[in-house]
Formats: sequence, C-alpha cells, structure tokens
Amino acid sequence: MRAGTSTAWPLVGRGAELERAAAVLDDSGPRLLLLIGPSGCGKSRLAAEVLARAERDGFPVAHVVATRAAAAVPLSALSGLLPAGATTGATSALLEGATEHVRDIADGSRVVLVVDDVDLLDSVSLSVLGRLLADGHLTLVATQRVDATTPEVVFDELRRGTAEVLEIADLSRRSVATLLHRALQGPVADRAELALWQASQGNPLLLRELVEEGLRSDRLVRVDDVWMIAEDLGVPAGVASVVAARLARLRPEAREVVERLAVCEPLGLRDLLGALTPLELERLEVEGYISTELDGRREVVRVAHPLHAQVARDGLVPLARRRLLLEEVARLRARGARRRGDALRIAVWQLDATGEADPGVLATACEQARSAGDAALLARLARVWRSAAAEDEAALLEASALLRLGRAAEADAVLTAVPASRDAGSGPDWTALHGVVLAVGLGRTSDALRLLDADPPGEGGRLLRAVDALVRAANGDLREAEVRLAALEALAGADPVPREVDTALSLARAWVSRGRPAAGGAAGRLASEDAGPEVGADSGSMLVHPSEPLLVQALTLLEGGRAQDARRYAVAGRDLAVEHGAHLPAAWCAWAVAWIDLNTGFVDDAATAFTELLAVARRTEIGDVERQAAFGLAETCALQGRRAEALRWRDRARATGWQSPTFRAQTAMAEAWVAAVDGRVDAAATLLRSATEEALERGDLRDAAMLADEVLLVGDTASAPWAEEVVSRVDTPVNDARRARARALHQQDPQAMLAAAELFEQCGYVHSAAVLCTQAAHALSVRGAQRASAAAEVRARALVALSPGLVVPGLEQEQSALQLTPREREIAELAATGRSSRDIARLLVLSVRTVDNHLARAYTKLGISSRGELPEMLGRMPSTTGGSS
Amino acid sequence: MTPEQIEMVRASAGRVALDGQRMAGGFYRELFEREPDLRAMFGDDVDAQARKFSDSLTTIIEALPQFPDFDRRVAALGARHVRLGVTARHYELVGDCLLTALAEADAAAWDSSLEDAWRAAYDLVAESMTDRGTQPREP
Repeated sequence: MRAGTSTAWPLVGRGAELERAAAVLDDSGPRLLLLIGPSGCGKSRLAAEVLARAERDGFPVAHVVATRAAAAVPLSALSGLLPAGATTGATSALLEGATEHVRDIADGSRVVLVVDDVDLLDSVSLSVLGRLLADGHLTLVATQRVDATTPEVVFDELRRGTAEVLEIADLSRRSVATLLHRALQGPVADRAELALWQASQGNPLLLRELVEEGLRSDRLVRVDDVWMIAEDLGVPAGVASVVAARLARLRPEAREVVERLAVCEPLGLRDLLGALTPLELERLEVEGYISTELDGRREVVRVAHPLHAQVARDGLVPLARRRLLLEEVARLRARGARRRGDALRIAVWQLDATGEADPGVLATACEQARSAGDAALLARLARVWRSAAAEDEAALLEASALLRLGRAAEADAVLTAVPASRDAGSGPDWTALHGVVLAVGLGRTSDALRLLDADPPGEGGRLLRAVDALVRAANGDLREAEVRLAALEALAGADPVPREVDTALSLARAWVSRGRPAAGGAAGRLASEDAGPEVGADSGSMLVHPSEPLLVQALTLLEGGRAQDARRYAVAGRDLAVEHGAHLPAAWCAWAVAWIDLNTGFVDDAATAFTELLAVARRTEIGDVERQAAFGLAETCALQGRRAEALRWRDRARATGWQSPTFRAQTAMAEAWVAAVDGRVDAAATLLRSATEEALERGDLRDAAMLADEVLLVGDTASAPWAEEVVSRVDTPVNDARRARARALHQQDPQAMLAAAELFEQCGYVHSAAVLCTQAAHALSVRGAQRASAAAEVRARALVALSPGLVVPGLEQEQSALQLTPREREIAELAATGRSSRDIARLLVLSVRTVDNHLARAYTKLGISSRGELPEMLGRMPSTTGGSS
Repeated sequence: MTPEQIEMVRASAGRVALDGQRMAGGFYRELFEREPDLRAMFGDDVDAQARKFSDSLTTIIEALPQFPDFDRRVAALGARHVRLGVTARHYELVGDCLLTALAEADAAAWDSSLEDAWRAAYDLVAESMTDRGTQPREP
C-alpha cells in the first residue's frame, strides 16, 4: 500500500508557531503577521492554517500569491479581492475603489488576508493594504523569504508595533522523524530516516519532494510495514527546480560565486573577495547559500547545502564550467602550488575541465589522494593515469582504491586486464592485491588460493606473505593461516610495517582468533571493556573496506556472549559501508546483523533483515549474498515451523550455484534446520556432525563448537557427550552455556538444564534458553514434579514472548491447560495485591471456597506454592488470551 | 519512529505498566511542581486521574505498531484536550514531565536510546493529538 502522500502532509513540529500566528485572530492581537523563513520551510502552509481557522471563526478571508510576473500590473495580485474591471484606470482611482471594496467585504469586521511572498507585491497593492491596515479593516498574514527585502508598508507596521515577525526555521531532526512517520503512516527504518534527514536538512518541501520521488522510483519501499530505502536517494526533479529558482534570484556576480564553489569547493575566502565585497559574501552566508569554516589558519568557503551545489553544477553550461575550473587552476599555478594537496586540486580541476591531466601531476596527485585516504578520488585519478601511461603503479593504485570502496568486481577486472605488460618488480604486490580482491572482496577464496599457489611468496614480499595468511584464514583454513602468521612474526624485523601489510596481518589475525581463541596468545574471552566500533577500525589502508574488521569483530563478540555489542559492531560496519556506497561490504555487514538476530532467536527481526538483504542482493547481483540471504530465510522459516516456505527458500539458495567456503558452517546450519522441519531430524544431525568434523579439520574451533551445539539443538541429545568434548575446546561465555547444555542433556538433569538456560539467557541467546526450559519442563514432568515443571514451562513461555514468531517444539503455542482462565487470573491478581481470600470472595461475590479452589489451580499452573510468589510469576506470564501472536 | 524504537517503547511500557499508577503519580507530582496552576485543571481525585492516565498510555502504546488505528485513537483524545484549553506549551511541559516520570519508573533499563525512543513516541502522540483536521481522514 502506498501512503497518502498525494494529499496535504500533516503539519508537524509547528504547534508553538501556529499558536503565536493564530493570535492575529484575537481582537487584541497584532494586525500584521510577517512569517519569515527559507524557501520551502512551510511559511505558506502555516499561513494557510491561520486562514482556515479564520474562516472557521467567521471572518471574511482571502488568499493572494504575489509573483514577479503579476508585479508588473498594478493590483493584479489583488484582483481576486476586487470587483471586475477594477485593475485598470488611474492609480489614485484604483486605490480608492479597491480600498472601498475591501471595506464593504469586511462589513464592520475585518478581512483576514494571506499574502504569500509579500516582497513581490506591486506598490499600488501595497498602498491598498497599508490603508486598510490603518483603518482596522484588515488583518494581514504575509510570508517572505529570508533573503527578500521587506516592503516599506510592512516596515511601517513593524515600527508602529502593530506587527509581529515570526521566524520559521527548518524542522529539527526529531520533527522530521515524526513527520515521516505520520506522512507515511508507519514506522521508518533508521537508515531511511537518516538519509532523508541528511538530504533535506529538515526542509519540509525538500523532504516531501524526496519522499515522493523515492516512492515513484521504488527507492523508498515498504517491507513488512516498515519503510526502507533500497539504495541512495537521487535529486528529484522537483527539488532541482526549487533550488534552481532560488539560485536564479541571485545577482549574476553572486550566482557565479556559488557556481564557482559548486565546481571547485572549498575555496579560500580571500580568493572570492575579488568577485564580491565582504558584505556581499556575508549576505550570501546569512541567506544560507554558502558557509565558511576554518581549515587550519585559513578560512575556506563551501556551498552550504549539498543539493544546492549539485543543482548549481548541473545548471552550468560546459564552457562556463570549464572556464571556472581553468581559472582556479591558473590561480593556483600563479601562486606556485606549494600548499599540501595543491597537485591534487590542479589534477582534479584539469580533469573536470578537459577530461585529461598531465601524467606527472597525476602521479603526485594519486600519491596525495592515497595518503589522504580518499579512495574515491584515488580510483578516479589512477584510472586516468593508467589510461594516459600504462604504469603498473597506476593499475595497482586503482585496484586497491576500488577494493577499499567495496567495488571488488571492478578491481578484479583491472588486475585481470593488464598482466602481460607488467614488469617483474611489481609481481608480488600484484598477486597479493589480486588475492585479497578475490578472497575478501569477492568471497572466491579457492580462486585466490590457486593464484597464490601459482606464484608462491618465497622469502621476499612481506605483503604477499601476509596476504597468503589472510586468504587461508578467509578460506577457513585456520590451522594453515596460524602457521603462516607465526612464521611471519618470527621473521619480523625492526622496520616499520607498511600500512597494507599491517592491515592484511591484523585481519588474518582477527579471523584466526575468532576461530581459534587460544591461538597466537589471544585470549578466548574478550576484555569486558573495549573501545567500541567507532575506534581503531580504520588504518586508512587501501587494502580492504574499513567495515571488514568490524564484521569479524561482530562475529567474535557474538561468540563471546555479547550479542548486543556484536549487533552494534555489525550495524556500525553496515552504516559505514552504506555511507561509502560500498555495496558488497554493506551487504555482508547487513548479513551479520541478520545472522546475529537469527542465532539469538529473534527470528522475526532476522526475517526482516534477510528479506531486506535479498532485495539488496538482487539489485547488486551479488550471487553469494543472495545465497546466504535465502539460506537465512530458509532457516528462519524452519525455526518458525513453516516447512513449505523453508523448503522453497532452501531450493532458491541452492539454485544460486555459489559456494562460499567462508560460510560453510552457516550453510550447514540452514540445511540442517530445513531437514529438521521437514521431519528428518536424523539427517539434520548427521549433516551437522559432519560439518563439525570438517570445521575441526581446518582448525576452526569456534565453527566446530557452534555446529556441535546445533546438533543438540535440533534434538539429537544422544550426541551430547561428543558435543561436550568438541565444545570444551573453546573457552568463551557462549561455550560455557553450550558445555552446560551438553552435560545437562547427557545426564538428563532438569536443574542443570535450567542452569544452562540461564547461561544462554545471559548471552542473549533467547532461542536456546527457551528450548532448554522446555526440555527441563518435560524432564520434570516425567519425574512427576508437576509444579516445578509448570514453573519451567512458564519460564520458557516468557522467553518465547520476548521473540515474536519463535516456535519451540514441545511448547504448546495455543491456549494450553497451563494457561490461567480469566477467572483464575483475576483472582490470582487480586491475591497478588495482598488481599485475603475472604476479601476477594466478597469483592467478586463468590464463596471463599470457590476462591481458594481457583487459587489452588492457579498455583499448580504457575508452579508455585505460596502467595508471595504470585506477583513475580504473574508478571512473567504472557497474556491470558492465548498464545503468542 | 524506527521499528526498533517502537519495540523499545512497547517493552518499556510493559514494564512500567506493572505499576502504572506509581508512574502516573510521579508524572502528576512533577507536573504540579513545575506548574502549580495546572492543579485546577484536574479533578480532586488524583488517584483516579493517575489510573486513567496510565491506562490511556498503555492503550496508546499498544496501538503504536498499527499506525492508522493509532492516529485515529490519538486524534480523538486530542479533540477532548482542545476543549480543555490545552496549548502547545502544555504539550511540551507534559512531555518533559512524562519523560522524567518514565525515567524513574523504568530506571533499570533507562539509557539515552530509550529516552530518544520515548521522546519520539511522545512527539508522535502530541502531533497526532494537535492535528486539527488538516489530515484527510477516512470516513
């Protein structure tokens, strides 16, 4: 369903303004209200609201929109207010007639008139308004853009104190969120809200244009009742025309300054003083066209709003653009181009102006872009350099920049295209980079291994050796990776490690320590305090996208029993990648978010996240992501007991034909759960057991522990002793819980099961905790401990209630005998407040015995034996009305 | 609001509702302390008022995921408040007092993201309440 954006949007965040504005309708209020604000801020909307109120209150009303065109003909703007033919004739007669006519309409009261853009009103109209204001027959609500000149008549009223000015600013971020929710009639996902806020900067008109364009182009879509953006938002035509009109109002000299900034920003303040006086520049800043900031000791100027810069650039004819750029190049050259980054600026401007630049400048510029960490710019410059002069260095730089941008497929194309001409010296670097592109960027680890095996690192090439370790780690061969890392560390000399080598090494180490917690001295347990995802993630290296370490860290934290933090890291990585437009890294981080939700048992959230991921995958045609998203959905459906859908998603996943070694464990888990929901529990367990052995073989102890534990979770409790042994090899909080589960199931000890459930719950693993409580309830029931069994079941139910959609086998979803009847609940709730049975009997007009009978049944169902326990247990029970939704 | 915020607010409202009366009591205490004149706007039976307030809050928050339904309910509530002479300043004041009372009632879970979520929910409620017919409504 589409929201009703075709009609008026709700007015949001203007409560106080509206009240002040409506004061003009009071007899004691001001006679004139001037609403001033930037274009599109909602002045006219506010004025229209006041007018609607005036009409309701019985005032004669009128609405006039002044325009530049109408200003040429006296009174034409007011023609709607005047008798037919009253706009021609001598000025003085016009003035008289018009004034008289409005007096008649007012009929002893006052006319409430709204004039939009009062600054564009012709002078005769303004005189008419002045007279009517003077004799009390008019209440005027006028709007005016912040950059326009207030007419004399309005000034007079302001001087006399009979007018009020209300400044209307753009909306706050909070108001934007509320407005979106109300206009779109539903919740808006974080990223969509952020993107719309950033693009609109709180300007309601821009916001509306952006939303409507988003709806038209299917970039803003509703998935499961939540509004999301599929990709980035474009500049809609409506916004472009609004902004263009605003720019067109500027004086030619001022407009050129904005245009110059739009193509060359930032520029030094001093460089602009030749074109405009300081006062004129100040005015441009006040009116919101430009902004100044301090860059070191130098004041630099930019276009204030990115949309304005975009529109100004789009509006320039190519020759004007070329002239502006070359003028700035000449200015820099004339000054000697000695400042840092000058070569970069010259290269970019030359390129923008003419499409080429001289190779010497390009080489320097590439180096500067690289050390500044600007991958987008580096990719662009290096590409031009590569086509101008077939330098290996250019190709390497371009490929690494593309990799950092998450555009691994393009990087692969660059590296594959030029192998023949390359000189021997750059060989190892070439292979190393290509290995990372294939293994980390594209998930094609086996291709990467083939490449590395064909060109073995030997003694030299530290980068190649580090990458070798990284590729093995990404392939899941953690034992191999560990050996290589150890060898490299033994070899480490006193020289500082280059940034790229360092990045490859630390990422390889991260993968290894995730899978082999005891390896390399890294503790299995993570420090309880860490810097958070904002810090330390980015070395500025061009080797991988900076979200990559966050992703590994998220998966490690999940295993460390810190699901919340894990999710935070994954979300931070995703947002970073989205911000950079790096589709593949964004997709993998989004996958991690979904995976974390799935593992902890928040299946509904996971389903939403996987669905969104699938949409992204389809758009970017990344087969591997599509496969994992489809497997994720298959597992989600399986956990919710939806067999047919689970099978469909699994088939869909298999049909993608991709096989990423990095996700072997996840794939096995999805396949197993689908088999389990299909009734083939034995097959599920067998599959997981062999996946466990395979993980052990390649040395990934964490994957092995996760898989072995999953064997128990799908119901193969006979494997408990084996699972306990596998799980015990890794020492993390989640594995403490897993070990407790294995032992409890082996011994069939209900108390131990409850204790294990507690451990899982502490790690945020709701699903496992709920399953264990259910198993404990069952075991207790078999032993005849009905009361304790009921208590365990209540706990299980409370856990399931935390996670909508989760289905736990053996835990009845529909109203069961264990749920309180409404009468039992009513009585139990009264008893929980401390009332005696006698009191309750009197209150409900029942016999004391009936009350006691009800209470006894409630105690049994809740698994308690005294009144004192009632309040807590009642709080834990989900609703009486039956089942989770 | 984001879906995450809706979930946070619903969970928090669930916790607070266990002793809704106390939270509502805290709210009125805060309100009358900041603006003693407002005391006259309410009846003598503050307990009954507090119960009503707590119940309304629960109902509104429960309706949050179904926006059109939520909007209709809240608008009806808003219409009653216009007749009582409630102004924009009151809405701001009530928002602040409510947040204070909630922070106290749900202290164990309170953090800046929960505060933001409640703030967003209150904004939504306040805007829906004060929307005087500008939004086209279904018949």
